Amino acid sequence: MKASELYSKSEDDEGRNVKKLMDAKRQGGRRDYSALMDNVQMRGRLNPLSKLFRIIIKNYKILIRTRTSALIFLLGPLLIMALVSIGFNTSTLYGVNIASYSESYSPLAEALISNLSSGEYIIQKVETQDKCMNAVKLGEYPVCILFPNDMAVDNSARNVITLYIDESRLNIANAITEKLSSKVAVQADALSMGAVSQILNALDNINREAEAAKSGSAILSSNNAEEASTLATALSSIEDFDLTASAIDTSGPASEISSIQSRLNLSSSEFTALTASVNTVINEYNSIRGKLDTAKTNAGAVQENTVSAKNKVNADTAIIRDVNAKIDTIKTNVGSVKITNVESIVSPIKISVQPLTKTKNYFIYILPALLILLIMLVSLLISSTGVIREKESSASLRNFITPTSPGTFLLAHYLTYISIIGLQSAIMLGVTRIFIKDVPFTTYLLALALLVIFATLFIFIGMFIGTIFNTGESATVASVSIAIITLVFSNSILPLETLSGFLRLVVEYNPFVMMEKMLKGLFLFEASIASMTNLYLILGFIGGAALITIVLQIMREKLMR
Amino acid sequence: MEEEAIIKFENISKSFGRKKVLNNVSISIPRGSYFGIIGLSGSGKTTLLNILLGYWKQSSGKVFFNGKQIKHNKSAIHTNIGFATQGISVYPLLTVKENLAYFGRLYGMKEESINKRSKALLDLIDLTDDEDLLAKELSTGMLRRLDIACSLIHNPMVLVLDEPTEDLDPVLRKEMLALIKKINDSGKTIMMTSHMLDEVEVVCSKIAIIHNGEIIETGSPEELKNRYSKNDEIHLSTKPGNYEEMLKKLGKLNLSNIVLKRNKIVLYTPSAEKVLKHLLAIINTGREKIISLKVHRPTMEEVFEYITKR
Repeated sequence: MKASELYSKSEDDEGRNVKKLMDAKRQGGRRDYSALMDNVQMRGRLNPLSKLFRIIIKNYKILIRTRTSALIFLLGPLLIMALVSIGFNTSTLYGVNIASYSESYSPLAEALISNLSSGEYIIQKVETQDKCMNAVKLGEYPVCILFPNDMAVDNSARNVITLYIDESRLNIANAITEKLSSKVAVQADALSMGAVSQILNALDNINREAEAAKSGSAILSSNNAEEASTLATALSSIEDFDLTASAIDTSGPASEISSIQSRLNLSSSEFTALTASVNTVINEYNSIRGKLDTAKTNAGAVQENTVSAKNKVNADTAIIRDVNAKIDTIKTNVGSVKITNVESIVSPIKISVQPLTKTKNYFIYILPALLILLIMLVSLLISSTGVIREKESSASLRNFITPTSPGTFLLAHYLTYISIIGLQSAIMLGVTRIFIKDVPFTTYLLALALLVIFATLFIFIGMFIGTIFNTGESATVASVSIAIITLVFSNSILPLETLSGFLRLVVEYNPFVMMEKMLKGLFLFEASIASMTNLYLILGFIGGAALITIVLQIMREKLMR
Repeated sequence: MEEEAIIKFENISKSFGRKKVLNNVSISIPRGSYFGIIGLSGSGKTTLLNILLGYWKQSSGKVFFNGKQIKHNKSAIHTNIGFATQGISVYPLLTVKENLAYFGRLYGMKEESINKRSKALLDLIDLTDDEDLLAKELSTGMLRRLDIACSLIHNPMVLVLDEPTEDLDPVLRKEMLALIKKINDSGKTIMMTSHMLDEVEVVCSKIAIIHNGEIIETGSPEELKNRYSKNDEIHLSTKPGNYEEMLKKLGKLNLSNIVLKRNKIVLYTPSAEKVLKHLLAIINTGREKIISLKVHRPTMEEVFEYITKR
């Protein structure tokens, strides 16, 4: 009969089963226990590694036989990484619902909505502004957009689009605001480009017209110069006119005629004729003289007019010169507009955001933080609860009274935990590699090494927690608290830049922050291990944590006694 | 001639804060003996064992093993003492065989020795057929036996047992005591604590009574009983039970005490044979019919009660 058949777990059956066993024993006859007294080969110094190995095997067996633990420890990370990698293996937002409101949607607003709707956003128009804002407060929509009434591009417009965002959803609020702003900015740029284009065309026309005016003005100027010269010549000619005629002394010709008459003895008729002729000539002369006087007077007037004309021509020339100078100024001013490219005027400075990473999806961005978070939590919990379990185990006393040093147990526990976490890390990185293929394999190997180093630190911290606490519950709470503090004061929830000075300085030395930087460098920028100076700090922390744990273990044993 | 002591506690005191748990305790455990330390819960039994094992450090006093102070020779304790606690010091998720192998390896045993020793121990504790069962699948009695086997895996000279029959039903307790006796018979010194005075009385060759952290008596069960009770007890139950008349006829016959109970009478006397002879004669001559008649020495329980309450 098998003993397993004899025994049952029921307390009531126990006595009966023992009786059966005793009967079976009696039937089996007398036993020889002499083997008990044999001197066993046990006093020899066994290789400490052999003990170490046996403790690790024991830890593994216990872990594997606690099936739920084994499943959680091995399949948990696998599942998490698979889900996260499938879920976040994208580079865009999907179906982001946005509430919008405007008292009257203008064509411009509609065009904007249409533009936004063509992307990853679903714009839902709501009836009132309050509804729009309340929808954000209630979490129905992450963003509410308010378009101004009759939004249009004209001189009287104040085209302010208001976004109401739920800032508590920092991660998505910032992303949506940024994307919306950029989309609106694109539309605004298009509008600006139209307006600026018009201005530039006008300037171009001005330039051309000024050029034409300038050539006209040059002709005018030339003509004026000619005219001025002509007038000067005319004036000179006029000035040269001598229209002075002295009055004739009529007594002279009369005496001469008398003389001639006397000398030539002219008849009176002849004399009269001659006198008449002379008088006619005199009269003619006087007439001419009168005309000359008139001409002189007229010439003076002409001279005056010519001078006036000349002065006017000169004045016109000055005006033309002035106009010319102004045209030149206009041309110079228009010509001084060096940037004539519409795009350059609308967006004189452009921000070009160039990714430094080859892979462009959300998964690789969250991968470092996710890996660190998982490794940190698992390391803390597995080691703290492991130490507590060992402490609570009634077998711990037997461990204690064996000739095995506490250091051997400590090392064995560390090696057990680190090998489990190393395996988990390998699984997680293996799953990651399925989704992110363009990261070199060596990067994964380096990441594994970094994670193992990181896990070492938190295993020692977990062992420290397990040593100072006495119950699984308190150790778990302490571990989770440490994990939360480490996580909160990292870049994962809020940027470190939001922290105040001293705290920020301290948080820079948060192992989570340091390790995240290193893993980001590795995955996103293919940084070399040599460039990761934080690694030395982490190694220092590990040394410190290990030392504290060992010292605490020794002190605890001493205090206990 | 004083027996050779394998373990000796010399003026051991231990305090936890202001509370003094042990006060100037001195005991010698003879080699090969079955030594019982009895006391009420909280009397300091387990503390004394823990000091022996080095789990706690005494506030003052010395502990010797094989004549050497253990302070300077801790490895002697580790390698020569096996210890079974009140709880079961085995891993529930390891099999019977794996538990033995694990602790054997921690004791520095080689694989071959572990196998040989495990086989013998499994045979001793009757778990050979169950060696591949997980410890958590064993019954309480089997677990206790496995615990003892784990204590013996390194073939210690002394087996220290802290309340080994605690939580066991009478059948399993008897089984366990038989097993421990067997181990003692194989030459090992047994040091056992218990508050089950009846079992200690039966199995222990020497007893120390600890009370309020002090050893108040030491000796074999017989010595203690003789020391504290010279009387035998005669328990008589008759029908119709006219005890008063019987007592009148008996007269003042060297009786230390008489206790009349509802349906029986208990007579305390240093000369039980003489009193019994007279009593039977009275019954034979009268109309009384014997229903039950028992004569026994006072139990350790009674001695213990007397000592601790005096």
